Amino acid sequence: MKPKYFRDPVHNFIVITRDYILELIDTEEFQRLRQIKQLGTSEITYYGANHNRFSHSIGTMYLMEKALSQLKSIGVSIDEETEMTALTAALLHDIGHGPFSHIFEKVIGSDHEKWTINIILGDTEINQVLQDKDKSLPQKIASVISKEYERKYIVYLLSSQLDVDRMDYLLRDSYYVGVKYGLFDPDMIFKSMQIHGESIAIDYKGLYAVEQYIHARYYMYWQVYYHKTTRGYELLLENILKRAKYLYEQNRLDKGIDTLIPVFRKGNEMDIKDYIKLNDNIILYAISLWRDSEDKVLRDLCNRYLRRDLYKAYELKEDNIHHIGKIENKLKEKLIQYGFEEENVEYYFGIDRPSNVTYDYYVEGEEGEKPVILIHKEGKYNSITRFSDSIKSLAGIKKYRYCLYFTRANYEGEDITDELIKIIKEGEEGQ
Amino acid sequence: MSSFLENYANIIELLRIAGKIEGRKKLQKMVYILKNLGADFKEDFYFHYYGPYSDVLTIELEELKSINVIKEDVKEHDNYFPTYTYELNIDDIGVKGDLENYKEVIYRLNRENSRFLELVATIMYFKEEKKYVKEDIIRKIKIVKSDKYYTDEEIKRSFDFLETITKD
Repeated sequence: MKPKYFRDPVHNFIVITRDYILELIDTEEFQRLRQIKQLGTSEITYYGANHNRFSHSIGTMYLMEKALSQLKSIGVSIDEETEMTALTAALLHDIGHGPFSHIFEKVIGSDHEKWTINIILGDTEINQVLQDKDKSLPQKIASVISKEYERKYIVYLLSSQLDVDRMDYLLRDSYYVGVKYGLFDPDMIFKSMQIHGESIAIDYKGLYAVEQYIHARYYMYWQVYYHKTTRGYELLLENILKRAKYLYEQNRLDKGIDTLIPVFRKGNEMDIKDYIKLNDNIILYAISLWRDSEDKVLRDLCNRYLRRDLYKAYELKEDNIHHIGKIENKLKEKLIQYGFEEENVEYYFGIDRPSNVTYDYYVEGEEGEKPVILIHKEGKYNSITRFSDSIKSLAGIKKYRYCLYFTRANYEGEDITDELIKIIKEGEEGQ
Repeated sequence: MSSFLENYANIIELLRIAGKIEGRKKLQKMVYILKNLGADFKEDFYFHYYGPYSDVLTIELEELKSINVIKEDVKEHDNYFPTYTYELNIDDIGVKGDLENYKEVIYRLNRENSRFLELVATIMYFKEEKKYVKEDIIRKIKIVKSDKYYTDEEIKRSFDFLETITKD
């Protein structure tokens, strides 16, 4: 085929020379990724962050190609079948993401990895393209996604503590968010890549590039992915979906859209054809309808969402975390005094505890708990923390943040923030 | 603070029953196995290089540590990777989990080592979540656990073990 050139803001030209890759990109399921933002609600904090999973998926495939090309250049034999599996798995690794990924997953109880596999193996255009190329290809890609593929280094390249997925999203997110601390030198990492046993190792010469990558992960986690404003906005969206689902179940959702019915009715068991109709825009359209709902709570939450009237975030001091249960109860009581009904008060405050968000920075635990990044020096292989004091200390950092979120105003619009902060402060002092 | 601690009720209950669990990896596999047997654990697990693993559970242990509910004892080893041992710090903290029916299984699991439980959890994952038949499970174990060199006897014992705890 005639090569196709994609102009990518992060990697510049991405040249597609394989016809089946282009056919996959043209499928309905892949085009859907244009309507799913990579960073969900982050654009409320960083307004540049409205890039989508479409560009990230192509970028991930591009980096996979680079990694394979490095391995081939140092004599690793990679046949066409393995390369095809690796590239398509990289291209399709996020195909199962739903709208506003994690929030949506939480509400419907689904898991994007399972949907990715469903779309690859199910009755879809993607499955057809893959089967036309090679009947066994869908199954092989699914085994890479579920980490069962026999060539483990491919699994490692796509999903580990140093993988092409993260490398692309760190660079891409930094670019769109407009921050520089997510940047690192991917080419140096690739140039140092080698295979050790069935896994990937990095030659010592690339140590500093990997250090930079791990620091980038750390900064992006705290400054972007786990930003407290973004987390508050996510909570608001989660509450909207929870309320809408509840009203649907009570037969009281007055402004529904057909596309969302299977979500409320069947949740994770919905049909694949219904699932791929979902995207961010559907949810935003629903919110714009629900702002006029008969239901007071849904209407109120949607209006807050559209006007960026966010919950107030209050970070608890580390020494006072053990009072959190008591603080939560006092806050609840106070909100009820301010007119929120006992059965609805849960929509107006929440606690964000560290385990609500998966760590995205480099950690090591016990041996065999999580695969470490291996460094090769003079014939010996060992964890990066053996070679780098800065990574050793970063991997050992135990930094936690507990944030309380609560409404700034009552139903009538009266500002109650100061009163609520007073209650929290008293609670923090153990009163 | 009971309502907040409800989030962790069964982790606390597990430690109350087990007493001490040596190894975070072991604790991970115990929770996975119990969850698959039907115990009420909210933590999501995904298949990792060393079997089913939950990042959420790891962080929850840190949270429980930070609010002084559990105690973590770190043992450093020459091979660099430490072992973490967990036990409850306070006996009665006002939350009650629901693991009464799993007591015997918990004792049995806690007597095994993490290498064995990793194998049991992996077999369970392939059997329950992937619906593979026994021959396929054995074949997959040899692929995904090739670096662990599990013997045929270990694999057989794991299948038998799984059968007995499922019956319990």
